[in-house]
Amino acid sequence: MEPQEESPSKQYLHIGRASELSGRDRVLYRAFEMLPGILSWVTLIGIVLLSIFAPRFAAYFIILFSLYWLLKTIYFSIHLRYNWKRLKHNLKVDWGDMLLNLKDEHIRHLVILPFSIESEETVRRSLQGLVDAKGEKKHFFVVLAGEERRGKEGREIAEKMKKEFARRFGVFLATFHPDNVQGEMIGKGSNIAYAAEEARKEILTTHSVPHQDVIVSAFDTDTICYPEYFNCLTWHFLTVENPHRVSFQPVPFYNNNIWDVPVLSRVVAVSSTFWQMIQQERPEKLSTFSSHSMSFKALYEVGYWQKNMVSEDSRIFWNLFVFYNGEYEVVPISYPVSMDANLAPTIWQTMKGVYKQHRRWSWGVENIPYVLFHFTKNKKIPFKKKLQVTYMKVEGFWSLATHPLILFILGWLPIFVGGRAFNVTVLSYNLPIVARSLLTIAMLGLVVSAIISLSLLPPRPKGKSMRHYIGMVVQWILVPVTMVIFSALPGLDAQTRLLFGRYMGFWITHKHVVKK
Amino acid sequence: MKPLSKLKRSIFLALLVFIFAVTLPVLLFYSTGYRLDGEYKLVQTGGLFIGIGESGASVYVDDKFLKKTSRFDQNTFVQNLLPGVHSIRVEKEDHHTWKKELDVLPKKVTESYPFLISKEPKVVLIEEGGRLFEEIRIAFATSTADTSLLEASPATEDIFGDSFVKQLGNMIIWQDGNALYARWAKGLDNIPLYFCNLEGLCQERLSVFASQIALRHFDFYPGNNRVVLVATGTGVFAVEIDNRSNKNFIPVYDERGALFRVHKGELYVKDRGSFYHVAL
Repeated sequence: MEPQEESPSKQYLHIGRASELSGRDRVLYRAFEMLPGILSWVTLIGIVLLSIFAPRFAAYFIILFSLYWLLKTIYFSIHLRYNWKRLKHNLKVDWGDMLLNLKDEHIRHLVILPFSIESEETVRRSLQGLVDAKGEKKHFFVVLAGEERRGKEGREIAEKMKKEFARRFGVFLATFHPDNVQGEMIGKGSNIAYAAEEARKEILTTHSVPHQDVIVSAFDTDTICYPEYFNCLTWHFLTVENPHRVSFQPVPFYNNNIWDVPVLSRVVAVSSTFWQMIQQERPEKLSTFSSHSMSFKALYEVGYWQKNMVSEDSRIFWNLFVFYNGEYEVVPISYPVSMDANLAPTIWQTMKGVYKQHRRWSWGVENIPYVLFHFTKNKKIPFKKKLQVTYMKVEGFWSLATHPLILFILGWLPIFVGGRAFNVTVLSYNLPIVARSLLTIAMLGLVVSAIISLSLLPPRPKGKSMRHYIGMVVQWILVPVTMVIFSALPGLDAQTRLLFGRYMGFWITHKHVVKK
Repeated sequence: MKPLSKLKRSIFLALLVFIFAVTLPVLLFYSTGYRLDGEYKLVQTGGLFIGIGESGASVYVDDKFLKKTSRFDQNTFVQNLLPGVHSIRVEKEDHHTWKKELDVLPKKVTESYPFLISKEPKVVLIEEGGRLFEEIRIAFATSTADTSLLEASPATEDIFGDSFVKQLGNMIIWQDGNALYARWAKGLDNIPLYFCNLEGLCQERLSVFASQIALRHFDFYPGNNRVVLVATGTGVFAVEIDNRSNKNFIPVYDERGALFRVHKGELYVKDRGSFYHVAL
């Protein structure tokens, strides 16, 4: 590794869970693991108890909370609308032109495309996306990162892809992550970390490419780039103050198959896009998610993605954050990449898939103990920054798991369990009226969502009637349902598992392809 | 195009925090019943809940028309009422008017459950010879002190000493001489408000009906444990258990000497030796 300033918490850099520690450290880490689940359950149980024993105060809290939610929705809508404008602007910009004034000949793109159970068609589609993207392809190093456990089939896919695409890029490398490596968890993290190291040895060292000139893009297998992605990324890399202390986050669209997926999967997918768009305007709250890019120099210095945990996409940001003593950020580039919305052969399997995918995303809660533990070890990170990050992380996961349940289910509880004395008060009668009115106003924001989502849709394919198009608008009335079933419940599920030390493994999202 | 600036975001945030700080107390005061009077003084108000349960009824409070109930909105909640006595009137075409005067307390909701009875209910003769005729004949042949021949009806029945008792849901009614009484089966648990006075003290039993002449039969109004049917020598009447202010006492079958039975949730009347089904 290249020389660098010693980080105080470096020895714990790749900690995955409490059981990897010992003594006081283990107890501390375990306590931090339990914290999110405890907070969420105390909140929910607290509201139930308050509704039974002090329904008046529960009603006050619910009115307060509904108002808070309405204003929060307005605040987020402002961010969403602004990012929508910025994103549309960025889609129109000729980023190639923007690069004319900059020296970018030395920049190389290392694109890592991991695949495990995905079909040949899915892999081919993503590689074709890279071919179609603008940019000097001889500067592209593409690594197709397979898993050895896929066996002969995986090697055949890699071989076919190599034949079809190798000549289209500067270098095309197929790697096969060995199975059953001690200390590793099966998943994307261990695969792309292996692929990155192979690329360093086989490509960067062989071709004497300096690490600081390489931008790594770690893509999910189904990622299809929009044409200007790499030009836009290069521009941001070259113009940002310190490109080796930032990651670059695109906006994940789920447009690859959006016309083919069931309505609930669609609403959840577009809601995820909207959340990322909102976060793009709040970069201090942004960590890397799904497909993202960064400097190879930073990635190499931190020792690649973690191999012993699930949420490697967001964890790499926190690895770098603690490694560089809090001097690491995410640059939101407000430029999209397109991926698959969850789709399985049947609607029920799709719904289960959406739930499991969101539980895996919610398992990002495992970053809370990691970050808090490092905050106790790393004295170089400013206290204010520690405080801000702690609040942001804890509040984020707490609200994810509790807010929809409070709004749509527990909010009505005082009326049902508050008892006769409460039920004859004006407050009891007004509680549903006030809460419902505030929620209704908040739901008007869905009109904005519907308009924005329509503008981001790919063209309506032949064979999809106007009914499907109208469905894309009407679908937004399902948001209360999706918020509870595919946001709060998987969030609470993940936190409860972490609370009781029932650690999750990596679950690969279905990428079922509809035959056209 | 640059991201949303921190300054703009801070301004939006400050503005929303300000709205929150201003709106929250207003919402909480409003929700608990506080209102501004004509002189912009804060006053405590109460409300009325009028649970009608059917459509097409016109609701008046203090002689002001409030609303007409519809299929999807069969109840009325009216608030902003100053504490004191307020009159309620519920009217429906071809039905007897239901009226009541009720106390409204600050920050409290007074509940009422009007019942509307047709002025001219549809009466159909039960022809002799059918199975229904036989069931009704047996029901009427059975004295109030002998229920063994009666088929199960929504109201369960039992005999306690000399008193004939009926129960529907948690409401128990029983006859004592020519008087009728009601009691709530679950003590104070969810006891209807008309058992209680303004101070919240609740009575164990309520006097529902008392007559100078013999009370020939009584039962719950089908499907409604707030209203009782009674047969006196002058006809069949519906009377509400709620005895706050005036008690609504409404004729259902206004023929001298008529008797009734509630059988399988339906009202049957025996008049001059013939049996009739009365559609309520």
